[in-house]
Formats: sequence, C-alpha cells, structure tokens
Amino acid sequence: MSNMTPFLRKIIYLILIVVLLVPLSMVSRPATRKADGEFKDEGGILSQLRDENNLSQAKMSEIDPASETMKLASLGLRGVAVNMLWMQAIDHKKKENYDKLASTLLALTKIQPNFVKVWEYQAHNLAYNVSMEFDDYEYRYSWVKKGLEFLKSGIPYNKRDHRVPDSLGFFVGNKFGKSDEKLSYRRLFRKDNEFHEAMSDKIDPESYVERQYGPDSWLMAYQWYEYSRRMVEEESCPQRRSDMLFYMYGPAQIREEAMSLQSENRTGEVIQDIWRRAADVWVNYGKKEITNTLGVTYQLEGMEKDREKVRGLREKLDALVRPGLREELLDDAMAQAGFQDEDKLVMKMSASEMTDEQFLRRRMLENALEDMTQGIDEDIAQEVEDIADLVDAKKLSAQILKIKNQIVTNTKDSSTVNYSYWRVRTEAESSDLLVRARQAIYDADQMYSQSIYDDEYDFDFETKKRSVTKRGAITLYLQAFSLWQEVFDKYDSELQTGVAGDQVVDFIRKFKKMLQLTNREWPNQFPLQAFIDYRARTGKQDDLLTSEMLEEIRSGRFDPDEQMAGSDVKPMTDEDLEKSIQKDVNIKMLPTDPKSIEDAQKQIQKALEKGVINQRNQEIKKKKKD
Amino acid sequence: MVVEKFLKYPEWIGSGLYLFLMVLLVAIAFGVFFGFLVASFRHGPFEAFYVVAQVIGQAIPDFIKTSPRRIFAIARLSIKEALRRKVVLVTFGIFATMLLFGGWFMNNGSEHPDQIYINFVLWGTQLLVLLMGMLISSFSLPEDIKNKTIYTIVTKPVRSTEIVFGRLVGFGILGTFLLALMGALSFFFVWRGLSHTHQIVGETQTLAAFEEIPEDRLSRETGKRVSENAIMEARTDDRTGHWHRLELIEDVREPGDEPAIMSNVVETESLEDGRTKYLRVICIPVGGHTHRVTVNGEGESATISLGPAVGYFQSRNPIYSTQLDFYDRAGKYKKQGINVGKEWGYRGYVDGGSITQRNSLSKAVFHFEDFREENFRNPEIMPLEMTLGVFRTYKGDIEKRVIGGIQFESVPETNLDEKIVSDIVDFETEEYAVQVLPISRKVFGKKFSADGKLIDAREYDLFDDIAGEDGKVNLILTCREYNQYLGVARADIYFRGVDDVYWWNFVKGYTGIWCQMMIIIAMGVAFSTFLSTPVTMLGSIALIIIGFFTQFIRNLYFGVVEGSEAYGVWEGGGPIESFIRVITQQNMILEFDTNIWTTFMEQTDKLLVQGLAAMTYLAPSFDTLDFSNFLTYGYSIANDRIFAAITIALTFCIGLMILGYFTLKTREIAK
Repeated sequence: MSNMTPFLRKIIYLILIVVLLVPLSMVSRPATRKADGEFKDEGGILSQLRDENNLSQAKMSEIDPASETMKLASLGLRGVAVNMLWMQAIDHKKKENYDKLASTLLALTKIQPNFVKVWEYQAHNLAYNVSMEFDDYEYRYSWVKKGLEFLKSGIPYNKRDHRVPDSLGFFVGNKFGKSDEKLSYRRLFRKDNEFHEAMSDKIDPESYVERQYGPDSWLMAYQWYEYSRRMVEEESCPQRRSDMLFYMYGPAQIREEAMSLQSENRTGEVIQDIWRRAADVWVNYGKKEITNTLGVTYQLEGMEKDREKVRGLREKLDALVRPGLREELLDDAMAQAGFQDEDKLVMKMSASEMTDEQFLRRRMLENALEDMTQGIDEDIAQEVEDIADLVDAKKLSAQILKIKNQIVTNTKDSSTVNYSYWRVRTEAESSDLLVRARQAIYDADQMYSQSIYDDEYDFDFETKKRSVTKRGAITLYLQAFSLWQEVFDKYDSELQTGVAGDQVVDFIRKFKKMLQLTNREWPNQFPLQAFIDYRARTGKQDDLLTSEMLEEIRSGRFDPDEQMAGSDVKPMTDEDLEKSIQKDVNIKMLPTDPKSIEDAQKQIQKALEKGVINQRNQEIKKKKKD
Repeated sequence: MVVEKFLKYPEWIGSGLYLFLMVLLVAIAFGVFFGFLVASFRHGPFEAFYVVAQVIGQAIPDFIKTSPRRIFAIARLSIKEALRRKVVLVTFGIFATMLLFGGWFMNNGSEHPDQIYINFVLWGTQLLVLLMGMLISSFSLPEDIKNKTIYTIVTKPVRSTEIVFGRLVGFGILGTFLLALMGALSFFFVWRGLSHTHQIVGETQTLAAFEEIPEDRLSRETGKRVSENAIMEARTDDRTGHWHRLELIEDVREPGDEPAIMSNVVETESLEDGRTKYLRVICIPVGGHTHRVTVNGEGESATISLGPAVGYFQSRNPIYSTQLDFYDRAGKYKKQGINVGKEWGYRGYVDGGSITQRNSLSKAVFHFEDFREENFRNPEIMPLEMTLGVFRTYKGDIEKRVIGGIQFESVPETNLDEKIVSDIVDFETEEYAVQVLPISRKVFGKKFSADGKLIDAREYDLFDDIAGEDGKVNLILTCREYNQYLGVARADIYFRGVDDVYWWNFVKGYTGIWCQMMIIIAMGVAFSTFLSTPVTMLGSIALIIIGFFTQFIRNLYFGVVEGSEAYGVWEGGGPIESFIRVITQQNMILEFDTNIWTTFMEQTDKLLVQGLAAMTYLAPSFDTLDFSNFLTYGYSIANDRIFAAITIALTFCIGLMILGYFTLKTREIAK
C-alpha cells in the first residue's frame, strides 16, 4: 500500500462528510417566517416532523442556545445525562441542598425541555415538597414562587401543550389559596410586585386585580386556565383533557376567589358581585356543549329540562293505556322487591311526616325500586288499548329510554364536578339574603374571636333599665342562624349537606362551646334545629343534638355522656389529653421568669384537673352503667 | 455545609499508617511474586530467582544515583512533546469557551449565585485538568515506543528512574501551569460575574425615592415583614437577576454609643432625654450578599449610593467542637439524636418536651476544647454560626419560627469541682441558612457545687471563668417549644474565628485539584510503561471511578458481603444480580428462586464486590482531595486537610513511579 492511501482515504471521508452534510442540512433546516408571521420557509422534513410531534424547537426564533448546547455536549448520551441529573436532583433533595437542586433542575430541563411531565413533576417538587421543608413561611412562599417560575419557563418549550398553563393555574390556586398558610401566602401575594412582574410576560397583572382587594391568587389561577383555553380554542392546540374537566377549572376559580375573600373579609357588595360572576361563569359552563368519553354531546345545564321532558312523555304514554297501569306496575315491582305494607306507606309519605328512620328507609327503597323499574315504560307501551297507538307508544318509550340514559350519564358527570350543588350555591351566595347571613355570621365570629360571648349593657340607675351597648357572640350567632334558616328554606336541600352546610355546622359547634363555657342550656327554639335534623337524617355525623335527642334529654330518658360511652368515640388517651390541654392552655414557649412559670404551672394544673376530672366522671358513669 | 470528618493531620496519619504499611507490604510481596512468575516463564524458575534479585539489586543504585539534571532534561522534552500534541491548548480552549458561555447555564434567580459560579468553575477545571492529565501521560511512552523515538533516550546514559520521574515532573509542571492559569481566569470569571452595584428606583437618588412603611409593617414591595425599627423603604434596580430593598432605620442610641458605621447615616437628631437618633439607610441582603450604603450630604437632599457587593467572597474559619453528645427527655445520654424519620440521617434532633413533660432534658452538647481569646478578632462579641434543622410535629404558629436556646457550661476537671452554667439565651431559628448569633463574653449564670448546691449567681466571663485555662467549654442547645424539634450535626454549630484571606483559600482549593491531577499523571506514566495507550486510559479511568466512589464501594461491600445493615440495606444484590434485574425488569426486592444459578450468581457477586473493595485500597480516595464544597460554601480549608491531600498525592506518585521504574526496567526496550 502506498503512502498516499491513508491520505486519500481521509480526503474521501471528508468529501463524503461534506456531501452528506448538504442533505442533512436541507432536511433539518428550521422554519423561518416573515415579519408579518407568514412562513418564509416551512423548514426541512425533519424540522416539520419535529414540529408536528412537539419533539423540539423547529423554528429559528425558538431555539434556545443553552438547551441545544447541552444536548450537543451530551454527545448522543442524552439518556445517560438525564439519568445522572435525575439522580443528582434526588440526592440534592435528600441532602436538603435545595439551591443545588434548583440548578440541577435547570440543567435537566435544558436537556429534556419538551417533556411536559418533567416540568410538572419538578415544579410540584419545588412548590410543594421543597417549600414545606422550610420553617419560615416567607421562605416557604419564596419556594412556591420558584416552583411556579420554573414551570412558567417551560411554556416557551411547550407552546402547543396546554398542560403547563393548566398546572400553573392549579398550583397558583391550590398552593396560595388552600394550603395551611393561605392567609399569609395571599397577603404576601397581593404585595409581591416582584412576582407579578415575573409573570407579566404571559399574564397581564391588571387582569387579576380584584378592585379594593388588590391582586388575587385565584384570579391569577383563572387567568392561567384562560390562557390554556385560548391555546386550545384559538391556536388549535390539542386538548389533553375531557371537555368536562378542561372547561370546569376556570369557572371554579372565581367561586374559590369569592370564598377566600369571604373568609378574609366581611361580605359586601364586591364579594356579592364576585359571587354573581361565579354564578354566571358556572352557568355558562353548564350551557357549553361538552362531549364525554363515550362521544355523547350534552349540556350539564340541560338535565332539568330532560327530566321535564321525561315527565311530559310519560304523561303522553300513560294517556294511551288504561288509567292506573303505571301505579299497578309500580305496586307489582314493589311486591317483587319484597316491600312490606309499611314500606309502601313510607313511599307515599311527605318528607315532613317522616321520622329519621323512615327517611333513611325511603332512600333505600327508592334505590331498590329504580333498579326494578328500569323497563317500566316499555312494558306500558306493550299494553296500549288501541293497537293503532302501538307505534306511537313504542316511539314514546324509546324516547323516554334515550333521555333517561342521557340523564344517567349526565348525572354521573355532573356529580363529578358537583354541578348542581355549585349552581345552587353560587346563585344563593349572590342573593341579598345570603349576603346578610354571611355578614351576620362574620360579625358574630368577630365577637367570638374576641371572647365577647354575652351582650354588654349600660345600666341606668335612675330608670333602673339597661340598654345593650354591644351584642355578644351568642346573640349575634342566634340572629345569624335565623337568617341561615331562611336561606336553607329558600334554597335546595343540597346547600344544607354541601360545603356551606359544613361551614354552618362549624359555627353551631362554636355556639355550643360558648353555651357550655357560659353554663347555658341549649335554646328551646334553636333556629337551625331543622337543619341539624335534616343533616342527621342524611347520615352526616355532626355530633349535634337532634330534636329527638333534645326531647329525650328534656324528659330525662337520654344521657349524652352515656350515648358517647356507647358510641364509637374512644375514651381520651394520655396523648389526647395532652393535646387538648395544650390547645386550652395555649402556651407556646417555656417561660423563663419565675412569675410566668408559676402562672403557667397553675394554668396547667387547672387544665390537668379539668381533664382528669372529666375522665374520672366518665369512668364513674361507665361503672354505674355496668 | 456537610462536614463529616474532623481528623487533625497527626491523627489522620496515625490512623492510616498501619493500613498504608500493610498495603505496601502486600504490594511489594505481590510485585516480587509477579516478577518472579514472569521471569520464570522467560528464563525458568531457577534463573528467575537471579533475575529478580538482579533487578532489585540494580534498583538501589538507580534510585540513589538519579540525577535531578537529567530528570529536568527529560521533563523539558516531555513538556515540548505534550505541547506539540496540542492537548493542553485544546483543554484551555474548551475551558475558555466554558467561561464565555457558562453564564447561559447559570441559575440567575438562585439564592446563592456565588455557590453556583464557584461550583461551575471548579467542576469545569477539575474535569478538564484530569482529562488532560490522563491524555498527555497515557500517550507519551507508548507513542515513543511505537515510533521508536524511545531509543534516542534509552541509548543515552539515562536511568529508568529518570525516564519515569522526568515525565511525571514535566507533565506535572505543564499541568500546574495550566491549572494556575485556569484558576486565575476562574477567579476573574467569578469576581466579574458577581461584581455589581445598584441604583435606587425613583426620580432621585435621595430620600425622596423612599416610601413610608405601611401600618401593617409589611413591605410594599414584597409583602414580607420589615425590620423592627424601619420607617421608610425603597427598592433598587434589577441587576444580575435580583434587587434589594432599602430601609431607613430609626436608630436611637445612648450617649457615647455611636454606630460603628456612620457613612450610611442620613440624619442625626439629639433627643430631649439625652439620647441620639440616627436615621440610617441599610440595604437588605439578597442571595448571600448586600451593598455598603454611602450617604453624601445630610437630610432630604443627601445623595444615597450603593457600593459593590459585599459578602460573596468569604473564607470562614470555623472553630468546631471536638465532640457532640445528645441527651433524651429524661436526660439520659444517647449516641445519636432523635430520628424524626428523615431519609438523610445526618442530623440528630432534640425535642422541646411536651405539656405533660415540661422539664424535658433533651439537649445537644457541643464540647469545645480550644476556646481561647486569641482565636477571635473581637473576643468581646463572638459570632456563633449555626445551620439548624427544624422539625415541627404540629403547625403551631405558622408565622413564627421555632425558638431554640443555647447556654454554656464549664467542664470541671474532677467530679468534686464546681461548675458554672450560664442562663439560657433564646433565639429564633432560621432553617437552611447560616444564622449568626453574637455571643458576648460576659454572660449571666450560676455556679453550682459538686453536689448541685447553688453557690453564686452573677455575671461570668466566658473565657476566664467558664472556659478557664484549658479552654474547655460546653455549649448546650435546647429546643424551647413544646412538641417541636431542632436538628443538629457536629458541623452545624461553630464559632467563627478570624477569616482566612479569600484568594489564599482559593489557592488551597485548587491544591486539591492539583493533587488529583498529579496522581492521574503518575498513573498514566506508570501504566504506560507496560500497557498500550487505550488500556492505560481504561486503567486510569477505572481507578478514577473507584477513587471517586470509594465510600460507596466500601458500603456496598459491607452491605452485600458482610450483610451489615449499618451501611444501609442493599436491595438488588451485586453487579451481576443488578444487571439481570435491569434487563429482566425485575423488582429489587423480589427474591430469585433458590437454585444453583442463583447461588452461583450471588457467590460471583460477592467475589466481584470483594475485588472492588480491595481495589479501593489501591486507588486514591478522590473525596479526600476534593475541596470544592469548602470554596462553594465559603469555608476556610484547614491546613490539616491540605497536608493530608499532599501526603496522599506524594505517596501515590512515589508508589506509582516505583512501579513504573520496575516495569520499564524489565521491558526489553530499556535494556
């Protein structure tokens, strides 16, 4: 072999490389656009495929030099590099080296920028897992922000994936508005110009300012969901969630905003207005045509109309057969289901006539009957008196069946988003009556937090009359409860068993505690007694005295302590006792000076005695019972 | 910063000497045996004995008569040869490119940009220098042998010792020069990257740009709590991804108690009660640094300017305790603190008791042994630095930090001596940050007799009364809140002594990389005397990997072979078992069926892990030579550590050179 051979070989390699580079460059050249946004060049086939499959940045203006360099520097070992960085990130987190974790994540997302789940997972890691490691709430808030800013930086790499703004909406709303630190976080959020500036390139800070309350985290969350909606509707990005959930989150943020503001402030016109907006957007959501996973298109708002339709069609169908046939078939079904005479009686009773047991029995019977009478309309259609009506009757029964199936589907979906509850709730909350009820409960709560339980009087020694100068919490609560009963009377029963009902139960518990502290009896005409009874009937365990229990107590037939002993409530353990005492005594720090030590000891002794005496009383009662 | 080893140089060398001698003896025995084996094949067993004896016999004059002049001559040639190969130039080029574009990969929003910058340059330097060292040393001899240029040297009156030592010295000089250059550039890069100043946002650079603090005492800018005596605030412009809040502080002082720094005072007012009110502007630290505020003029027209960043280039000199003990609620000694269930068991926790057990005796006791005035710049007030962990068992008051307490106690020589215990000083903890607590040398406390009777209660001097002549003092850390916990490790609480000069500490940090480089060069030279270039590089890489994962491999050995749970539970077995699990996608805790293949696999794994563990005693532990964490977190590198690193490097270099000499000597080529 001559000396020229290796040289020639190298030259040939070089020429081949250059030749191959030309087509490679042609197929992978990125797309370029003119100033008006039109395509100047759509890019090579590889670039187009990348764009179609969201594999990487296929347009010249989107290419991030840092990301591309990192990918190039891994020399085709991107998978290995990614694994190493993930392991490093896990190790940094384990060793509480959070700043290094944040840097590692930055490098990680430079290598795999188009993998949305990485952004979501690690943003969650920073905003939720890392933030809670810090003892100082201001640091915690900073790390939540870091998580959000990290996630936001994933948007340019995933411009056609709405999951990133969706997650931002969820994190902003959930973390600032629902965590234990929500009050502190929302306060910091309102004033955090730095954060608002950081987000301003995607969301206009003015768009989430709620009048006098300033920037609101729930409104920002709403804006993120709107951003996501625009991506799908206006930019034709693929929708990666079912219609029902995709369109639900945005409207839900408005009512969350109203609820948060309501818990932070006295409800007024602005909050009432937000509730109205919440009701509007919720109804709009209900009116939206949505398609479920089975491909059925419907409106959540249309359920009531469908029920009405069924009733109308059934009347028509019943007119074609002999009168009373439906009732007969129902009686037969009841007989087949094993209904006793008293069950049939219960089925015919109105709600106010029923006892608790009857109420629960009725529910059970209704469910059983529903299963038994699935094909009742078809059976009725078979029984037409005039054979000429048979076709019409069959058509009617088929229509009924179709609508019923629709209702079943809708009910299932609707219950997923709790549509009807929130519809009633938002409507109720926007009413003047509920605003007054909210204001009244807020005022009462203020008094409660200041431990002003009883009314305060001025006594005129001359006239020997006393005039109330300040209403105490007990009076204010009673007034508020009267308003709440009006609310429950006016609106659907769903409001009583939902979140609003739970909130009211908390207030009743506070009221009960106040009565105990001031040695008072439960009022004879408690305004919300019907509410308590209703919840008890629906199976809610509120630990409040129902009318029946009260009657038994008053007649001496019932001992609440015995009831407790017989129930699942466990006797207080040492640990429970310790916790309850700590809650009562509310000592945060070990006192250092002798006086406070003495005071604290007295307080603890008192609390201990209270706990011990209570326990002893329970033991004595138990022995008596035995 | 996590510091797990605290050995002083004499202790370190004492503990390692026995092991070193054992390894040395084994290596010599193995070398002689292996030489004998090779010679037996070549010359027969009888002749082999003489050959081995002859080689060993010749080695003595070779080493004694080694000429430094000839070593340097070969070193000069090695440098020329390495430069001709352009590896050094390419390395430097890559490094320069890294510095030019490094900013793209930096996390500008980081809380500690200094740590990110330093970490980046150290990582880059280490990687490139080690790679370069490996390349130039591995290519040198095999290429010479392949090109037959080695004959131009071996035919001269040059000893084999001089050939190997010359190469080590030559490449060492070249690497040192490159490392020094990279170090200087890195220093400049970090300094340039972090150096900045700010301007106040507003129309003027005066008090007019300041706004009143709102009534709720929360900043208008951040919503966070402002300083206790702040009356106004302003903000600076955004530079290098951050900005600062400025506060106008109302500082009322007693006569004669002037502020130490007057350059930031805007206005001074004498109050009726004789005290003086100073209105000062302070810059709130962000990301581990602040700026010195200078005020020109007085009152509302005074111009306020900010100086360069202060606080980045630190070289803290920590005075650590020599021992840390834990005590439980009942006051019983425990080897470790309470485990609160964290995966990382670095910190032990002390609890704050509970409402039913108020007098919790749970505490962490740090034993200081060299607590003397001369260790501090200002012994009147000493900075105690802490990095504590906090663990809450219930939410408590979300907006308040958990309270900790510290106190000092003397260490009586005998049980019959009196003891002084200072009063508890409460402080708010600050998790994941270096928290500084100023400790006055005058502390209030009580003196107790040996039987626990109170003798006296008054002010005591920390140095004279409590530490005494022997400089021994105990620091006691307690958690002061019920049902909450404080976590500490030995390195988490220390007194900050006189800081080191930063650039000197930087040099010390690079000394670690230099030691690593020298070992790798020595490996390359020694292995290349009997292996080809690719095999040399492979061998070097294998030893580097073993060197970086020494502790991991030893833990693996104890976990897999010895079955000791103290080193962690090693699910998934050794290398073969892990490999099978990976390719068959089997869960790590799923046990294999008991059969002959499983037994064979497990036994082979044990053998392999044993072999790996044995290799860790031959490869240098690169962890010991890595000081990047010290520079990253701003701690001074103790001289003991540097001495240990140099000792390791020298030992390996000499050992490897001896190996290189014998292997080269026995090759046909060198005869």
